[in-house]
Amino acid sequence: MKAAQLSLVCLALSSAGILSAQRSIQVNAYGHFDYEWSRLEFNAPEENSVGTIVIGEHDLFVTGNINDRLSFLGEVTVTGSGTSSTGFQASIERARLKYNYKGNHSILFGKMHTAINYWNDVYHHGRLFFPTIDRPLNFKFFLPVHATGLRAQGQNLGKLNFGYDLQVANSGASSDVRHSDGLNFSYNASVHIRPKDGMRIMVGYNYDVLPNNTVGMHFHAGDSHSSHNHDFSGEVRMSQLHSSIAYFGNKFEFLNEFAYIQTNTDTLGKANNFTNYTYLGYRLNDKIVPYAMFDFIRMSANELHAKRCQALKYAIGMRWEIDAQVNLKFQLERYGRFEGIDDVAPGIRKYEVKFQLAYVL
Amino acid sequence: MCSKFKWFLLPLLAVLLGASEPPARDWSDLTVIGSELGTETFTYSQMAAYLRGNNLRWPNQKQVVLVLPSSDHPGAEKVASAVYGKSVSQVKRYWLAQVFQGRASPPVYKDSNEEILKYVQAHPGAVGVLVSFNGRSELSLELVD
Repeated sequence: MKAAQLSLVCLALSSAGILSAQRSIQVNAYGHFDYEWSRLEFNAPEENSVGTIVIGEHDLFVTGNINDRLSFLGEVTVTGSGTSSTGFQASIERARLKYNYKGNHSILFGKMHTAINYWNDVYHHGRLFFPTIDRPLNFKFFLPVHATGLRAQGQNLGKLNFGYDLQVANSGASSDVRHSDGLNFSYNASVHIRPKDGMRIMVGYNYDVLPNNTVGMHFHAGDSHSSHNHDFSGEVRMSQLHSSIAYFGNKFEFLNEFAYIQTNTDTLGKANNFTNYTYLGYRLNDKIVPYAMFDFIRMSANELHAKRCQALKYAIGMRWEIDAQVNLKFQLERYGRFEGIDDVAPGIRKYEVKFQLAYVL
Repeated sequence: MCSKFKWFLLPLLAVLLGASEPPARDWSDLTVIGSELGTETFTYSQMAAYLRGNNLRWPNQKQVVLVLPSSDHPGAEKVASAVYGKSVSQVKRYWLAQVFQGRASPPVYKDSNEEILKYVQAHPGAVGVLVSFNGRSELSLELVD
């Protein structure tokens, strides 16, 4: 932990030094505070209500040009941790070099966010940009948020602004800081078009093999996360077909993310899982955006990688963009049963009231 | 199955139908200047795409460097409206997001036309937008429909 803190300070100091010498370096600090109040049911006893102010993820972001073709992007976060003695831990979330070899075509190397659906490819850890307070449910279960490896990237090609991201990276089983047995890679291919300003339509495919169903920090915040199935230690072959449609115009805002995740084990065979997140917002003026959100994940009875659950939540909320660098979101949400989608576990049938203050310096 | 998914398709259709083209934007008070871009003539839509960070390189493969009015520049609002169809605050957030995604380099912000002109003159590959500029500059680009 001390080493991580030291590296964070060194990164900040070195970045500040570079800033004075070269104009092409940009350093930003992103952060957020949350307040969450949850209650299992409206008629539940008072002791089931919980309200907490949370110091959210704080993020030091550095980007800059090394030369005319080569650039660097780094993102280090400090966030709450149940296993740290101080309650916080630091993490390198992105560290990548980008070589722009021709036009809008580039080669990237390092730790990046995997180009799986719009949210993970665009918002990263920047709460300021999140349209809702929470990430889609898939982040907790099957989404390999990061990957360390090599990527070919193209963007804004032709009239439809076609783009591609082709990636070979460490398996999700890798921690990125120690050598693992065998030779395992993950593969991701995504393509998108941007037919008009603010709109992006994306499809892609991701494949990964987890030899012992252990995961590094790329999946649902690592092995310790409660959504991981620690009881299964066999090989998991995971395929993920994903698609998203995003439109963020001057009035309407819309995001739909779909993923079909198939995990395959020698024990139970194929498990077919589905998840879908939908966001709809309407900009009343320059600052106020009321919105609604609907999100669910359905897992097969054969699922072994993650703890089996059928999760559903829906919410209404409002985003107040106080300034370009500050916003405040309010969200009222419910987890639980909805007509037509059954088998929701009783433990996640609850109500939540949330506030989030997000900012960047 | 179909009845379940109509709840996702209906809002999508509504948004796509409602997502009309933005109104024509007025560039009449803007002067776009550039230094060593490989050409001096662009269409408005081509230049708008460059100014939104859609392209990393000019036709001569020089790196695109954008020089925009800062929020202290008296013409910031005109540029935000004409080029981006947004408010100054929204443009600022747009660029924060573009840079955070790692898909574009941050623009250089300047407080006056003179500062923008001086920066573009000194940096090949730089393009700048001047507002209510009455002088003459050899760096002025020709924009056509």
